[in-house]
Formats: sequence, C-alpha cells, structure tokens
Amino acid sequence: MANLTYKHKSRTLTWTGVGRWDAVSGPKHKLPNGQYKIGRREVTPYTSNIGKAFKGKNGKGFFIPIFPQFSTDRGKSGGRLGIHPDGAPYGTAGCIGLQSNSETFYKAIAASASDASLTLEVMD
Amino acid sequence: MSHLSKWIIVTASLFFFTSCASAPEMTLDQYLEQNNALAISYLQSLDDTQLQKTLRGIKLTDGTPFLNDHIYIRSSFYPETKSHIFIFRESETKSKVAYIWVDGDGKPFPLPANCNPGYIHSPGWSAAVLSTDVYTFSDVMPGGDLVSTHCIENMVQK
Repeated sequence: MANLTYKHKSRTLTWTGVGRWDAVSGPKHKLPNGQYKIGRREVTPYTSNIGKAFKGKNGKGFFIPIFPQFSTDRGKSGGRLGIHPDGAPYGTAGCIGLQSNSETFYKAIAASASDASLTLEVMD
Repeated sequence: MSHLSKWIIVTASLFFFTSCASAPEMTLDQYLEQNNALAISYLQSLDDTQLQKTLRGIKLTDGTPFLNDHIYIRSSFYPETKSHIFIFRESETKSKVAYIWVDGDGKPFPLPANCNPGYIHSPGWSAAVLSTDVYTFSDVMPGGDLVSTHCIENMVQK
C-alpha cells in the first residue's frame, strides 16, 4: 500500500498517519493514475530561490520529484513530474500542486529518513 | 427613495462587489491558451535582421516579460515533424534557451534525453511551459504548448 494517495476527484493529497492537503493536478494534463516512487533524495530545499510556479503564498517553495512505476510518456527523459506548492496561475501541467499548508508537507517529507522508500498512488 | 429601494440597491451592490472579489483566478489552462498564442505570434514576427541582437521582448498577460534581454541566436523549422525551434541566449546568465512548438498536424518532437537539468533550484530547467510550470511530457506534443528547455546541447531532431 502506498504511503501517499492523490485523488483527482476530491483534489486531496493524503499521507497516511501524517496529514491531508488540498491539491490539484492539471486540469488539462493531469497526472496519470498509477504508482509512483517519491524521489526522497532529490527533494529541493524549501527556498524562495525557485521558479514562481513552485512557490506558495509565502513566497517559498520546493520540488519533490516523483517517478512513475508504469509505462507512460510523462515524466521521463524530457519532462519531469513532482509535488510542489501551486504558484499562480491555478493548476499545473501535470505535477501535483499543493494549494495550502505546503510548508507542513515539506516539513513532513524533510522529517522522513533520507533513504525512506516513499510511494504515491494516484487515482480518480 | 424608500428604505426598501435603498436596501435593494445596497444589497445588490454588495453582492456585485463580493462576487467580483471572489471571482476565481485564471487557471493555468486559460493562461497558457492566451499566452501560447501571444508568445508564438511574437516568435513568428522575428526576422533575420534581429539575429544576434538583444530583444526587448513582450509582456505576457500577467505582466511577465517574455524574451526581454535575450539575444536571438537562430530558428529552425523541421517540415517532417512541423516543429518550430527558436534559440536564444539570456544576456544576464549567458545560458541558452530553446522555445519549441509543433503544429497541430505535426509529429511529437522528442525533448533531449539524459539532460542534467540541475533542477535543484530550477525544476523547469529541463522543460517548462510559459508559466514556468514543468512540462511533463517526454515530447513536445503537436498543437500543444510552447515549451522552453535549457537542455539544448543534447537536442537531436529525429
């Protein structure tokens, strides 16, 4: 069972035993359903020195890469997939954009072991 | 004017302004639909006399500058895939950036593989749309978004 779950219909990202966040993927190029590995070792710092699309309302942001564990043309050689605060405009081109309390999500990720094997399941 | 009329006017005004204030912001899809067209139109307006010159660029609908202080390096059109590629150098950072789009009746244009994007501080370094959101496809899709990439050294037209 995956540690984290993102549901398109309810637009929520849930981390079992940790918390739940309002989030969005797409709507046009939403994240495909399936299993993903979270790139725990590749989590960026929580910083203001990041593109505006990745910043929350407090002007700071991060990017957590995720890697599909199934065949897809998304998030491979060119494009990347990830979880980050959803900077304006509303929505993402396929990533999961956190709508609020993104700092608490970052703190939870940062508190996990650097070699933690975290997984995400995306579903309708 | 009766009290009832005043009450109706005040209530209607409050409803109007409250509705305006809480109007949903533009979505990414709407933003890209407007600004892809704007940016592509600007790219198509560039001519050979502007090669190696620093451009003034334009502003996107949210005021974000597009290609200001960029030097126009070259452009190519690949008829077999109907792909358009424009390459620039950023005056300040000296780094090169390519903007790519594919006509609706073209074929997917593969983005560079094995690019070391250095995306610790710039997740959109490998490929991004105009909002700077990461472009999440492996190929630039026909009739889709205008895509930028800094990984142009590995760019190979297949």
